Amino acid sequence: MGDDVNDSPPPDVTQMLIEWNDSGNAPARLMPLVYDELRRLARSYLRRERPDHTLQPTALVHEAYLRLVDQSRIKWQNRAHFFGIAAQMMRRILIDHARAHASEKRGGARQRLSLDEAAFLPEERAADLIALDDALKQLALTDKRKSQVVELRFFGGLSVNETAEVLGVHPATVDRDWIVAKAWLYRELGKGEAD
Amino acid sequence: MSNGKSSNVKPDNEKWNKIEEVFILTLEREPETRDGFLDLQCGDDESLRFEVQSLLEAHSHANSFIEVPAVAFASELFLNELNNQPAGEATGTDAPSIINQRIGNYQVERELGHGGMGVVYLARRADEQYENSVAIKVVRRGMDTDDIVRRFRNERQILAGLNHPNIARLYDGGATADGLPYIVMEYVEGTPVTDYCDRHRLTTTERLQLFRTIISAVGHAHQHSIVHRDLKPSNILITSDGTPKLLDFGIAKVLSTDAADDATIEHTRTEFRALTPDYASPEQVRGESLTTTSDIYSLGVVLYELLSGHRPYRATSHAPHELARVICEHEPVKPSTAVNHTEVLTRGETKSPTTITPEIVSHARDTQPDKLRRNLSGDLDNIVLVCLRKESARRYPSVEAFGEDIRLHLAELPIVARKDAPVYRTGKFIKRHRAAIAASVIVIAALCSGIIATNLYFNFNRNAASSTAATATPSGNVRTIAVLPLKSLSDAPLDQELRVGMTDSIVTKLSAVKQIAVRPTSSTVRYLDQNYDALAVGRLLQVDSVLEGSVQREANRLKINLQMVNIADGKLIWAESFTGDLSNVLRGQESVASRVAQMLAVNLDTMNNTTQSSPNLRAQEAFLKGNFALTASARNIADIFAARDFFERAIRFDPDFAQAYANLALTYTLAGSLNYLSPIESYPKAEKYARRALELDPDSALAHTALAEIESDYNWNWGASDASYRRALELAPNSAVAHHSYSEFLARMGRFDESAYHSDLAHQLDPTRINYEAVRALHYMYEHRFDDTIRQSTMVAEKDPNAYLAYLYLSVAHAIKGNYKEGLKAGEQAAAITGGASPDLFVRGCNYALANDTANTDAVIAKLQSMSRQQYVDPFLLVVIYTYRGDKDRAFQLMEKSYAEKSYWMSSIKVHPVVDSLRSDARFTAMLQKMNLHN
Repeated sequence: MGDDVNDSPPPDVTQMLIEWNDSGNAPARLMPLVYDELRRLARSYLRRERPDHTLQPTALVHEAYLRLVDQSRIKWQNRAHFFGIAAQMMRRILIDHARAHASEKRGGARQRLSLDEAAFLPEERAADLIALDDALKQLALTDKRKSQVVELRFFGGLSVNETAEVLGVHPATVDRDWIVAKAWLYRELGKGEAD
Repeated sequence: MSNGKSSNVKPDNEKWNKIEEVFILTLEREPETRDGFLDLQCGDDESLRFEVQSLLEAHSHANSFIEVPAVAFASELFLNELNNQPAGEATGTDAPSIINQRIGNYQVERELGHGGMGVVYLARRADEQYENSVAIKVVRRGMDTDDIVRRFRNERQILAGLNHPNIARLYDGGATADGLPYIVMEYVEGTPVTDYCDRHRLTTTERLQLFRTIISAVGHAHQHSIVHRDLKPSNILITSDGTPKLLDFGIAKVLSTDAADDATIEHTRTEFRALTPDYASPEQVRGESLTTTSDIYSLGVVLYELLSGHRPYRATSHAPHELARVICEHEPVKPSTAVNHTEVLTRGETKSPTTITPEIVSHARDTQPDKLRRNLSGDLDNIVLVCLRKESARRYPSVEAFGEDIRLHLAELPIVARKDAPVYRTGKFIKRHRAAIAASVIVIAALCSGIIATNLYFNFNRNAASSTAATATPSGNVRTIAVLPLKSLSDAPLDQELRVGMTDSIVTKLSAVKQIAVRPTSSTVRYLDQNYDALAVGRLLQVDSVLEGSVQREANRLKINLQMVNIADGKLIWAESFTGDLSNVLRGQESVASRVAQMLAVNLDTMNNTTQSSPNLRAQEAFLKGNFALTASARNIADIFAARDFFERAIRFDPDFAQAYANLALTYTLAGSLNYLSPIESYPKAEKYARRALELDPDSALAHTALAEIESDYNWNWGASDASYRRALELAPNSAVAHHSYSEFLARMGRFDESAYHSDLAHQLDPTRINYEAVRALHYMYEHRFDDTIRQSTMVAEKDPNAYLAYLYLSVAHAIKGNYKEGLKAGEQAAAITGGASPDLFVRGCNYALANDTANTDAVIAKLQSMSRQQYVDPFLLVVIYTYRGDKDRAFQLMEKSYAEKSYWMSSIKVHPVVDSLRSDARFTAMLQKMNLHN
């Protein structure tokens, strides 16, 4: 089952965020920390280790933030940086898992399950996610900010306002980017021709 | 999956920008004008046109695509990974090994079936030969055993209370030796209701009769507060003797995340993946919390299928987001129309595709296509579509009401369900095309905005009301109300649509009040412009009381009279009239609907508590007036004092009126925080009244809120304040006042994220309070987000030009940013509202001081000083102005004075940007320490 909940105090993510602000570069140690924390949180929620929680599907990133960062020490700009990193890490985690899942499926020829929800089999989701990730990389080549908007909102679960905060743009810009990116991605994924 | 790229050539930046621009511009046009517009924009640039057109095409289909965040979408992937087992065995419960094994006291015989949650086995009690067979559901790996078992124990008592001949019993539950949770249920041998009806060629009438039995079983569970959450034909079995049996009641909840019914990752995952999506309600698809009306929705889908042979939705693909989109956005076609369709469906136990034609469907109903169509159109279409409404509040309020309509239809009596009134469609239209606001909507807004209650009549007959409550509401304290469509009294009559819209907004507002069950507009809209006897209608609709009224239009004034009648004795319970100015059409947030809801909530609250020593009539009246004044108070100082006077009068009439004490306490804290009174005058009084309220009612959330405010604003006892807020929110988790006040406290403590959370909640709970939105701007300022402060307060000021606080925040934020001209303008706008008060003088002082306009700064200082001889002026205002003027010593002197006088501002110095330039000074650090605000 691998890594379990680690109770040692988290390294000082707050300090890293503050330094980042000063230096302009993301500290190298920050990403793995955020990655691990998000992964750990997701697992713990999925295992329902905390029956009292009130986590929304979109709240992982926020929860990680509250756990890792001392709010009293940082400015909102630091938080924007954190959200940016966290969304990126969420994307990485999900895509890693999707890829692992997809390759596993190819390896073992298993019998198809006749479940009610056959249409919701994980492999379809995995494939969808990987395709989306690829398309998003394409989009980034043409229009970096639009790909970031999708990363922050879809993978990071951030609201329009938070996304605007991270990117330093007006919320209306995020709305517009989102509409364009969504249409573009939908077209690229060939969904437009489905059925 | 291939990417199916439609364009391999990546457009260069310039071209891409052009594509985007034309795409957005085209989207903003009405669909029918788009082609022409594109011709104009693209000229003969074929590739531009192709790009834009393919994006438009994609846009028109993309609706919910990627709108569900990836975490919810893909949590399955996590789950498999975390079990560290091959994905294909996700359902694996070591199936072969469990046969012939014992689970608890039961011997497993064979597998009955399996699905997303796990495997169901047939078993027999191992120690008693004559015991009936049972079904044991063994939950698959990956679900947390302890949690499910714990939840099962919590639910067990409730589920065991479900003793109904049409509901399969739940016997036991626990964990297997392997640690897998299991649930033991009554074993039912039967056929899914859809298959059963088709197989026996039941007619529409027979189907409806059978369905009524199903409905009453669901009603039984709902009375025990149990929501099924997963109603579908395979959970509604018909035994060989024709008895319906509902399976798995409450199981979805046990297997879901938590008893609190919150939408969580796991919750969403469970619902979304394991529950059959075809029968899931929009709120279920979205992972929101579920109520009895979600079951009504699912029942509606089942009935749709029973009647028409089709399902209401056809997703074009099986991707989850596609399904979510269809369920959340598509309007289903009428069942009577659906019977005409020919389609291929996979359904039933076999899952094999079957072709459904009008002939097959009508044959299974022992009739012909034409007859079936006629049979379904009208009443039955309406009944089903009311269940399938996207907004749960607009479905039948209860399964009883649903069943009653079917009964009325079978008895050939008029039913309650009606087609959506045109105004609903108008509502959707606005959502989709925000830019285009129809003229009629503006008039609706007129009715709902800028309306001021003028005269209040209140004839509260306690005895009558309580006896009614005893007879008419057997299920507890919920009062049922029907709101009848407003009549038109003027010479220039108002459109029916507008009046229905008005009525509907009152219904919607009332639905949010806990102790009121309000009949949906659909049940009363047929009385529009009919001559009716309110009492007869009330009895027909089986409500405790009826709210009826009229709208009168004189020139550009509207007058709305409302009265509520008690059905049992025909007495008038409550009456009030509101007038509003049509010229204020699009301004203001306070709608008459929320006023009415608020007034009634207070009223009914009291009605339901009549067993306790209840305040007398005059106390009630004074209290209501006070409440009204308090709501309006942020605009006008006179209103605060009016509120105070009313509450004090209420207390004179009834010295044990806990709510009046609590509200009086809140009136004093408000007066103190807004500088209407000095803190030393206001807070000790507030404390006295809050404590008295708590003596009378220790569970008064408002009194705890008031106490929390006193602890933070005046006693500077942060821990005690936090604790009181938590207590208040525990007692009243949906109190907008408490959430708002707590968010303010959290912001001053620098806990911005929590603050934003509570502030959002307060706004959601009571969107009519413009001040909640205004204070959000202050929070942004505390957080040093000045652009956001400006954006937010500008937005508030646009919504309500009288929002005084918004101008103050706007002015200070502009001053800090160096936009003195705008800052002064905002200050003048604030002054125009109050006629010149210390805060608006102060904000202009900030602008002058930062602009180095010494003459004007000094004039403001002098004016504030002279003002302070007649009324309370917070010394902290001068702290700020001297700080900005560069006179730190004077600033610190005055800060000591502010400290001594308990200035409200002192509680915000940890975060407030106006004292930023003092922070590096040792005297400031000392002050923070003195106030326990240092880290």
